[in-house]
Amino acid sequence: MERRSFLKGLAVTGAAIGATSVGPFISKGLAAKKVENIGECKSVKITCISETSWFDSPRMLQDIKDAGGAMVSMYDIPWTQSNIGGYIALIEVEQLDGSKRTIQLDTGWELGWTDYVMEKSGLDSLLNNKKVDVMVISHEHEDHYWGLKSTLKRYQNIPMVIPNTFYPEGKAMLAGKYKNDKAKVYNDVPHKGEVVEVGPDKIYKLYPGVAVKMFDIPILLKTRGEQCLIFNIKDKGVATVTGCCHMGLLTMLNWAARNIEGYKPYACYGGLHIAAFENWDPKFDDIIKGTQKLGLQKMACNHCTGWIWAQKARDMGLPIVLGTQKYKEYKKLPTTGPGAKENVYLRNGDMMAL
Amino acid sequence: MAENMETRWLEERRLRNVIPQPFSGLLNLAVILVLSEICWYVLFSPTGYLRLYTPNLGVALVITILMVIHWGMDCFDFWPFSRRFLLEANPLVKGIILLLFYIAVGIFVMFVLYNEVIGRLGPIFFSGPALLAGGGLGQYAQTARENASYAQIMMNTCIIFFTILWLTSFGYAPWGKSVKLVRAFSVWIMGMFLAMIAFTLLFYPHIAYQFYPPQIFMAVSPWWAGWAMTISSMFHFGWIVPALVLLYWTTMLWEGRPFSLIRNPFWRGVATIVVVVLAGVVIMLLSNKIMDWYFETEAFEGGNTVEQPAWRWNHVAEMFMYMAVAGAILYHYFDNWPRGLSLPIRAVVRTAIAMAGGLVLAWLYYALGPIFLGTVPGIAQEGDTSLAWTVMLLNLVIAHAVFFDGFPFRKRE
Repeated sequence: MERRSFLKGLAVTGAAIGATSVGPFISKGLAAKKVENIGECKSVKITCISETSWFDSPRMLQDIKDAGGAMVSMYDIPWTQSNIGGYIALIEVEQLDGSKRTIQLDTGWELGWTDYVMEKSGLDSLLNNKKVDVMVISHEHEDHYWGLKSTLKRYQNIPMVIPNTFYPEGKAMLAGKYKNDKAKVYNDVPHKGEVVEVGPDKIYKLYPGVAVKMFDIPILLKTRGEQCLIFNIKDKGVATVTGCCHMGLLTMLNWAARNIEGYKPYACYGGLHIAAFENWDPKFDDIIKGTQKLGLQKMACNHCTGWIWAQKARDMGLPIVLGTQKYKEYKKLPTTGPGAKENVYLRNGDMMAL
Repeated sequence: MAENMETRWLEERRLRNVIPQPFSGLLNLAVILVLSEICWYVLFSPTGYLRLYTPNLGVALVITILMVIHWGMDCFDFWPFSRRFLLEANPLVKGIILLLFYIAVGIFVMFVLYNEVIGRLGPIFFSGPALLAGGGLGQYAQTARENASYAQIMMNTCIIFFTILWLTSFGYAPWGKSVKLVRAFSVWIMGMFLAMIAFTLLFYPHIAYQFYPPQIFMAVSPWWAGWAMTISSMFHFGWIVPALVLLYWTTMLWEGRPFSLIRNPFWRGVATIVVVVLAGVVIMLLSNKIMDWYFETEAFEGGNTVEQPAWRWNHVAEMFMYMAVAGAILYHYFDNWPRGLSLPIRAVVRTAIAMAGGLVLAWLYYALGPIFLGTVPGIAQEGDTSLAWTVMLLNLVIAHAVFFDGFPFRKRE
């Protein structure tokens, strides 16, 4: 509203005449969208297997700085091995007919930590018994994908859904033919199951009420493309589950609102990539203000969201779901987050039912 | 306007093309593109040696050097170098000496003045090392350096804008009757003085709110948020850069018009300031509308990538910097073609060429950047900006055409 007033004010001076001259083109561009029906599911349960991709933010940033900054390829950074963990979420979906589907989102990073959290959560036996229906890789970032061996050595044929923007290194890792001594990443277990590569033009419908949407975006550390899981839960609304959400929470939900039939905002889970390293930027305040207008009922965030964003968002009335103390039972604790007034993250071992 | 003005070196210098146009211009362009690729690889590329494209550190460096070049070229008429040296020295020797001198001053400003003096003794947000040494939440290696670089970028952009604005609007007035050094220092100080005021009003609230918790006793909450859809000061960057490009074009492509038509120096100055600032704002808003159409989505508060208002405002600056480079190439390498038509027509043609050339450069950057510059395919990457490459290229074009006399395809008459 205020922006319109500003434009109006400029128009008075005669200076903004041009600003309105392209109006007809805008509606033409926006009018061509077709909404998708992704069906409905009954309920969704999300378990945080691991959200600690790094344990100490200053160390993580020092690694990035020493390598040349955020534009350097992640495959070209000698990561401090003692500082890294990984990201995995496990999602159990109940369909309207009562059947259940199990989805693994991402596959961690450091193999020791990834194996540890898989064993601690019971994910390892699900994989060993082929009880995971599909693994969706949100994006190629090290902390979401480089622990691939931990999954494949347990379930080599696991069906996978990946963005169609992987670099050759990521593809080589999938083929079990990659070893990088600098970044200390390798995989010698080739994937032998079905791989679906999702592009940005079409939504991939996984199961009734469950879809994967890919955003073709450039990402820090020379990565490209991220996809999220979208659940349409009967009588509740749309919930999203993300790895890092580099596409942005509001951009993702704006897309969903415009493209998912019967869209009703409900919940989100996962990394939101905002104040990932306890850093702040005025743009992050914009995200809080924008999210306040969305009408989400549950926001469970962790990982790269930045606890300071989550705390600030909760202070400003957003429905941030608080975590438990379960994460303290894990063998390694993050140094980040102790300054928060509350446990504003859904941390390792926590669960959210939708 | 000024009564004690000897001819400036660039006005006295006469160059001729060694081979006829457009081949001379095309060869110069080819040389500068090859040089830019080498410089990019050595200094900035994420796969190169120094890897300064972090990205803000690299952007701050090239903008600082551009600022210093403007000081030397526009304020000081290349003082402390003698006119004899400038006119008679071998272009290669002269070019290397001038280039190294201005780079050295730029490095001094950035790494000594900002990082070690201003940031250590006063406003800490100008110095990455000082932020890091001070410690505290979020002030880690990469973040501290990038935040300080952001403050330097904005301050230096203000200094460039107001220095060029003063010179274009008022020339050396009211110090026109003074000796060269007095009027040079006067305009230099005036540019910085106005820039400090502008920085305080337009960017300082952003700086205070880029920490957690916000420094509420240091600055007001960004007052432009309602208009800009963001509290990021990129909103102001988005109009200052196009306004600066209009100033460049006024001098180079439009030969001083339309402001030179106003005879009274005071009103000419006022008209220049008002029109350029207003035009900058209108360009920014119009550009946002064009992006609405092009990306088929509108920016909104809290949006990300192409829907992020702060990115949109920065992208206006990016697009106009492509056009500024294209205009500089036309001016320096192609003898400001066309020259035979009436002034209004040739100004329109040159502007059209600069805008079209800028769009071509932008297309090249996004299409070929992943191959030649090591960038990630796509647009609107978090924290990324094409300004590192475009401002570096602008610096190289100016250095080559001015310091090196366009060697080897141009010669002094």
